Amino acid sequence: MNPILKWCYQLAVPHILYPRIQAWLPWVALVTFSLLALGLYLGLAVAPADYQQGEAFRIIYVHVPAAWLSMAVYVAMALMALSVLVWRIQVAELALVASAPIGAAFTLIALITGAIWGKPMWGAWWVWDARLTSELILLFIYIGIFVLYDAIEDKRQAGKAVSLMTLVGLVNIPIIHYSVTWWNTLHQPPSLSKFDTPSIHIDMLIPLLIMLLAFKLLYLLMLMLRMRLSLIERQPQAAWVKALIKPATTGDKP
Amino acid sequence: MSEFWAMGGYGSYVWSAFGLSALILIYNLWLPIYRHVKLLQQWRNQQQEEQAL
Repeated sequence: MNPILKWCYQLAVPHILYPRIQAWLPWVALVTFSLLALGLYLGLAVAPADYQQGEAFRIIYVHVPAAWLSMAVYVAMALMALSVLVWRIQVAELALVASAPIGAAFTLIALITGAIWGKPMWGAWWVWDARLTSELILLFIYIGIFVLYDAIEDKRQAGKAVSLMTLVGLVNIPIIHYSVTWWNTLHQPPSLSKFDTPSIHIDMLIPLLIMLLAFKLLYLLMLMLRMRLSLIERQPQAAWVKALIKPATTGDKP
Repeated sequence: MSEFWAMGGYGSYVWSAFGLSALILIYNLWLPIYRHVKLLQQWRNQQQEEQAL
């Protein structure tokens, strides 16, 4: 078999995935925190102030990456849900359930930083407009997913139920994305688009792109940490999990 | 330097936005690490108790 394909297939095998996560964790963490430090430095100290919003525009460097990830995590979860329902991949179910609280965290950050940004710019912490309301609904969907999974005793049934719920909730994502063009809202339209040249100065754009990449890696890092936990929580009786706790008692292996 | 922290009068908004975000992210990184360590510790203790019997 193609070695790259084989490597990917092995991600679905818990006793191969666990040591792989352990080996990759420090490197993913190193790259993530380096990029975060660079992005924060460029965004907070180097980028010029906005001609209209002054220094307050710098909230963009946490608000936009968090808002972007709040939707990207959901799309990733929809793909995992499909793998659960179509191919019955157990690891995909663990990844789906691990992603929900992370997506909720990014959504919460987007809402909080948006409110803090809205107060000096719009004069209000919160308005019930389309963008803000649909993002709040996204937060409730994320919370609903991990609460539902915890509530159902039989984990195979729970996996199927949250997969279905994830796919149904997917309709909210295009609503959030297009809300600023479909409805009249206070929220500004996107500054970055695939089809246009960015309507933002290059010195402001570069830190934003670095923060976007850093937030993607933060998602990967948090997903790895949560998967590492749920892999051993799920199969406490498995031989490879038993082997993990042996060295400390016998003391013959590091 | 104090000019940097003042953020042109928007200091309280900018720093509270970044501070609260950092808190949420750090909690999400810390929680699974803590639970992973605790779980392995708990299993090791159980094993030692079983061996002692």
